[in-house]
Amino acid sequence: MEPIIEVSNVSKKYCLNLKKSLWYGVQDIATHCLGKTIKSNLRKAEFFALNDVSFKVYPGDCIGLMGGNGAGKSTLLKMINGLILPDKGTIKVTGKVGGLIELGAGFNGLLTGRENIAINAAIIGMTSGEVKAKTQQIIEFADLGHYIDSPVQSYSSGMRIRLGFAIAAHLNPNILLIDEVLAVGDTAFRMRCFERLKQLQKAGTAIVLVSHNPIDLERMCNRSLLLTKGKLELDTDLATGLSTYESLLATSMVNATTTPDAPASFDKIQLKSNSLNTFDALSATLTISTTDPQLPLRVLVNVISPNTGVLGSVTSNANVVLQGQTQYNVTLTLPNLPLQFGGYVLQFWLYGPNLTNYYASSQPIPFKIVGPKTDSFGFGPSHTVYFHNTWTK
Amino acid sequence: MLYSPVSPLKNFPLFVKSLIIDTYKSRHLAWRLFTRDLSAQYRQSIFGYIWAFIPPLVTALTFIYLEHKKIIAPNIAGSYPLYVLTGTLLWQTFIDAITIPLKVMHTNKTLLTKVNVKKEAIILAASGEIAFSLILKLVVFLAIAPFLGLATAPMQLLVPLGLGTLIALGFSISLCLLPLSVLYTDIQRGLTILLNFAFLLAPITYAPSATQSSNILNSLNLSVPVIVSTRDWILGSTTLGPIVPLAIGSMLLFFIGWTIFKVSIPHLISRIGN
Repeated sequence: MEPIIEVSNVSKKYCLNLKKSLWYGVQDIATHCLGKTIKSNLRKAEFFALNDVSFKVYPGDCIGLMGGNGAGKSTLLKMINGLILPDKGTIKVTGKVGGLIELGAGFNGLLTGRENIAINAAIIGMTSGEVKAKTQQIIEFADLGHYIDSPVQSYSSGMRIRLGFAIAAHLNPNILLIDEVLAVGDTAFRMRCFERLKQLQKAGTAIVLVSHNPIDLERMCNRSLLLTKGKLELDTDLATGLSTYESLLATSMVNATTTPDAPASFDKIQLKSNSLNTFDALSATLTISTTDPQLPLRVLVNVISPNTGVLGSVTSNANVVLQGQTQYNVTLTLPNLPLQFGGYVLQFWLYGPNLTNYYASSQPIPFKIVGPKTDSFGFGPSHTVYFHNTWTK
Repeated sequence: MLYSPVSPLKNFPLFVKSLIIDTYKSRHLAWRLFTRDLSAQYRQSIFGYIWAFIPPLVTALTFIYLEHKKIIAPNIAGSYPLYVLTGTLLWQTFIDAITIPLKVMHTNKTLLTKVNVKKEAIILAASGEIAFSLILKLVVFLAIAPFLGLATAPMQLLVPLGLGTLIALGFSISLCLLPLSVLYTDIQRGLTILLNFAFLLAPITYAPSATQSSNILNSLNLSVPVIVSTRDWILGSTTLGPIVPLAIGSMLLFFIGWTIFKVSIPHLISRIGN
């Protein structure tokens, strides 16, 4: 099968200094007007917002594009959309590109919803014939009742988005770019959106979805791209990509600290495996050293999810006594881990005998649960923790 | 589509082809943008479309008043009101051709940065607005002018050519300035001052002096000979003037402006987007 998007060694420069950025803009325009090629070397105050990114997308793919703020996700979408040009490399796009990026772009507040449908549909690339044929479908999908004949400025932001989505979802593009727009609207409308997107995907539309919501990504995507600081870190299946991204997120939530002159510290913490399935046993070995063998030590561990924060803590004093040595090798086992698909981190804390004897907290230790797949459409268990369940009638 | 850092002008025939195809494909969107802006522009207004021809009319009336009260003595053969009205109408057409595309670009700036629309729609929508504004002004002019002594003359057949040249000239100035005006607000501000200055300098409310050609500032303003010729045709002159080279030159300039505009858009988006 031929790829529908082909991104080859693409880099894009950005400049954080506005005055310089504007001037570089003038330079770039002049370069192109003179028929020359933009040079890829960095000028003063510039950096690469995207750096040497390559990947291919095929019809029917649904790609979750992940990465922290400033990772380059939106820049990449804009380039695939043809809004901005790469400074290096090429992007080949085949077919009609639709964007759920800025819903309702070009809406005029003084005009009615119905009038704006015609304008917005033309903006996103429908022909006048298509607009005529689809207006009724769009109105039904948006389901705004009599508001459809009121000026758009009287709409709530949710209503605007509904109308915008309804129009964009009826474009039937070959490629659909979605940037953080699925998080709005009530549940019923969101489910209708997902259903529509699934229909499009089945019909061969390739979807590139940017979202910070793991559940949305899980619902839609079969592949993931992970960007960190402009570089393509991972191009893999959704389970690996999403759980890696989530553990990265959780890692960034956690800070390692130590008390100055603390009598004890963590030397080494190692997981037996950092890629598990739900109900596997998680096993970690810790090496702890102390300058005072008489000091009784206590280890606490937090299990952290980026979505919900600390899920639970357990402490060592329940099982072991850490006293009488200068170094301890401790193994922690968490059997039957009830965590579901996603990325997590462990953080270990080292305490003395009393409440106030805090010595150190470890670096975050990431691990991921890669299976079994959960069902986020409400046909099976999903989200973070698995609860055993029985139903009777 | 292939996006790369290579200039689209490198393959010039392909660029011209895409310019023509995109213009054709953007007609539907252009019409939508044009009607949207038009209907929205006057929806929150009591006088509505009257605003389209008030500015030149007021300017004309001011000078007619000044002349009537003998505050100025412009020394015009024939009807001074007709002379001033014709001049301000032509000047306003030129001004519209410069300012309307900048305004349309400004209105649709957010849209351009978010959706990959055919850029030509902006140009077509702006042309529509210029034409609309011109038609309104012409209707008013044709309603008033016969009472001020306007008679039919053979050279009036050339007026559309004069108007076309004037619009092409203004439009190309606008398109060349457009990328800079999106990046720097100085352009908009400077332009307003410059155009006011040029208005007072140009022989619109007074007769061109015999030493016109020696006036370097006016000779820099290419619209002056076009306005003078077109006004003379309307008022019954039979001389052709330098219209032919000016018309060809304006069309060429217009094409250059269009090229600069099309090439600059992705760069503008990457500088002002978000």
